[in-house]
Amino acid sequence: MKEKEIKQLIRSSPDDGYRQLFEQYHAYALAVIYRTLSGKVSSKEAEDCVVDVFADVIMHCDTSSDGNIQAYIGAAARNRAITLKRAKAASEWYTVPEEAAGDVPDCGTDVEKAAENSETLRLVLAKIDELDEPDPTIIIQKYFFGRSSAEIADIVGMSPAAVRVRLSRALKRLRTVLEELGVTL
Amino acid sequence: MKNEKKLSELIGSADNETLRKIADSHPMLSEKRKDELYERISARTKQSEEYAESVSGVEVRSSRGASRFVGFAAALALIIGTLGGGGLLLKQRMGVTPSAEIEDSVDEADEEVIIEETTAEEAAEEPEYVPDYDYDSIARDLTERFIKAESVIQCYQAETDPNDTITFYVWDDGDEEWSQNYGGERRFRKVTDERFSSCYDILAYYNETVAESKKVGIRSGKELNTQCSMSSWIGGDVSQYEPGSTVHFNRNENYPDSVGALIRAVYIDYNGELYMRDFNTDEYMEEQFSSDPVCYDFTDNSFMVSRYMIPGYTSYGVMKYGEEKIYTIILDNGEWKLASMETGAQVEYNAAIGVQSYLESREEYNDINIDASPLMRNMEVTSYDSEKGLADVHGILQDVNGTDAIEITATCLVSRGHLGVCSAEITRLNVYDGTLKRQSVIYKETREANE
Repeated sequence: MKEKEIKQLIRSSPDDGYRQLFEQYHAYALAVIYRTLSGKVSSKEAEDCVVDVFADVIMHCDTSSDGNIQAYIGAAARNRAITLKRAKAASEWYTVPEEAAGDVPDCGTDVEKAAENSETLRLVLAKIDELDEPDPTIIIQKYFFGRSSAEIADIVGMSPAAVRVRLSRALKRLRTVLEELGVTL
Repeated sequence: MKNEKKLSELIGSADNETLRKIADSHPMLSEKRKDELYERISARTKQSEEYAESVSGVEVRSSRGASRFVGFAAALALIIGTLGGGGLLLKQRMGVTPSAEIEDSVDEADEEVIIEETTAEEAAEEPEYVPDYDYDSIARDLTERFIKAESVIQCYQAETDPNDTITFYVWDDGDEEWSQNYGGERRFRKVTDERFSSCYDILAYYNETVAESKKVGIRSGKELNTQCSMSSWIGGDVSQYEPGSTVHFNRNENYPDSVGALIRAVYIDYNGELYMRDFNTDEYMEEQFSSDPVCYDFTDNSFMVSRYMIPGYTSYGVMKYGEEKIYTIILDNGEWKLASMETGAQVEYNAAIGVQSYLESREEYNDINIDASPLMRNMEVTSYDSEKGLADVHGILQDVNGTDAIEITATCLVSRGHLGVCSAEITRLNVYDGTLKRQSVIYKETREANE
């Protein structure tokens, strides 16, 4: 459903509209949270952040205007993640360097490097997507979001042991391709 | 192998469109988990709605997100306005319509509100409103003491002796990778600041400003701003460990709170002395307000305060306005105390997000680097109208190759819930190359082609 349609649904049936908004953007919010925290966040913490983000959106985002809800959700998710990051900064559980306690990723200082990383990431994702499901999901959850086999099992509807086996086989197929791109797992 | 990268690290370079692609392509939560989370979201918003109704005596029948709250505020402002003393408040918080778009939104919201218990006419018969307290002074004093305490706790703003240190080592026996990367040395400097001689002094300093129900212990209660336990910063006593020793633990098993203190805390007590983590504190500064407090929403035992603050970490770059902090101050056992704090407008950041969204929707700027960081660095907020929630920005933005590409002067909506650009003047500084596209544009085009 497009953003405009979700806004219309919110106007006509707020409960259904907000539920649809959550359906459509919860994963995006989670992805922003994981990126902001460099993936070093527990599933529970990330999900708590998502609850905060959507409560914020429902209570504060003016969905009747032409504003971009995705941008608002992205900003809200990032802000909530930064708050969590600040709390974690001192702990170094997740190696938040001193300069990063609450800042946005500094990806603009080296444009060339940022572009190179972006291009590499695009190629990596393309290679991952070439695998048969649920392997791409398992790899993304494991390496992008740091989830455990048990958590991934819950998402893909398999046993943790089966997830580990699938992951191992998928990585074997992927490893050679990634190495050619200069990427290690 | 040249330029080897870790897959997990590459995600740090992912832009929002890439994240959207990943999120759209791969389920992140099971259906059951999604239901559970949405239940929590619904409960949270319902709770806020009930609170608003119980405080205001105003029934808001719509459940339309932001407009519900705009409506509530508008109704409240109507009541206060007729009481005579709220004129300034009205101007400050409500009576401004920066654009037709927002004007429409406020009008719509007004229609949703039904005032049941107090009509405007009834309110007009009430005696003239006379402030009972010097709210500005109360707000100024409490908020300044509060951010001073926060600066001490979270931004290392206490005097120390860098030559008087003790060191411990921590090692997770169940996770060698963590131990190698993040374990090891934990060095602490002796605190020489006369205000504090123990962790409890710092807690007491913080607790002085907050309501009884919001007071925290090291491991009880949550800090107002971050909603995190104080144990993230204040560790308590670790005297049982010998300086120079290695403290072994296992994260997958229970371990004493004192070990957690060594691992993560900023402040610890050791043999009756207070120590602060020896950290690179150059990146921190004392949090400061950039505006005077503005008080509103008065009741007999509470009022709200809006005040802008420059955050205590310097890596944001130069900020002129910073973030709006919105405090609830309540009369608590005869004393005014802080009961809540949340973030409102983030002037520089929200302006950058507004411009980002504006440029993202226009094909002729597909070559512009619209990441929030460079936008914040390259744009200056030249003026900010807090009443209207409008910020004027100016800057020269670069394309994805790092070449100066456009000069932008824009007026942005930066208040909470209203991000966007009201008007913009953009001048091309280079010749637009239609083949040069940021990565997110390429993803978007690919996704749309596949739909």
